[in-house]
Amino acid sequence: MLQEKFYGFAYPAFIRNSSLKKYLVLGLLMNLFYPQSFAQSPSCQAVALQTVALMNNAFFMISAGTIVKDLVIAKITFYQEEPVSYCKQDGTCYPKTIGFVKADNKEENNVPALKLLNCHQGDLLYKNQEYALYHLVPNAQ
Amino acid sequence: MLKWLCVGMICILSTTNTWAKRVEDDDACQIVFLQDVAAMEEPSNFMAKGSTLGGVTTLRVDKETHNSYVCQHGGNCYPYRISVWNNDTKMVTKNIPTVRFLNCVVGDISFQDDTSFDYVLREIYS
Repeated sequence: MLQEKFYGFAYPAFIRNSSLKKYLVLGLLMNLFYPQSFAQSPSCQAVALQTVALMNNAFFMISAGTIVKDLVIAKITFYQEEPVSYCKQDGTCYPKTIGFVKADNKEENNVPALKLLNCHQGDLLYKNQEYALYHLVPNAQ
Repeated sequence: MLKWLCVGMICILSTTNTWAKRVEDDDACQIVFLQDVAAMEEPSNFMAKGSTLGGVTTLRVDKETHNSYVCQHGGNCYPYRISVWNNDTKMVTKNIPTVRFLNCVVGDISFQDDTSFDYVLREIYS
């Protein structure tokens, strides 16, 4: 009975606290350093190889086969098991790889989750103690 | 006098026993995942559909968003319901249940602050 009350979807509480600040800063940085390389060409796109959750919202997932457009940044977070994620200009990030605890409760790490289609990781854009940001640049035609 | 002493001893032992069992029970709540679910603290880490997790102590409900998630004692929290963008149907399916309680039920509110309610999870006695 009680469980039936728990409907609704929006950003979770933890985003409003610490994580939101991180992603706001990330979004700000990406706006500052937005690579112009995609301005005149198709946006950087990736395909989801698994069902993956947004890095800043575990309540929302995209199914395998979904094309994610307008990626601008590769974010490498230090001290994490699955460190690389690809991010849009608004700060929404998707993991490059994911780790699983499987049905038999064995762990499987570095499972490819997102594959870049028409771009690759370019030069370093920004680095601090927590993470480094790299441009995503178009592949040579 | 001796009779009352015995009654008192029984009461103390009974209370201690119940308390100890409750603590034990709180640690014993197990869930099974009905979907692949990402940990909220580390969304690149998933519990796969069919996997189980023990020591789940809390169902937390966000007061503002009404999002709810279950949390393991000393571990991660996982969404209780998720929304999924389905690439085949090009639609978002909302409120997909992610976990089923195996041996526990949602109990009373154990804590609340400005942002959330915490419901304790209690073991079902078989």
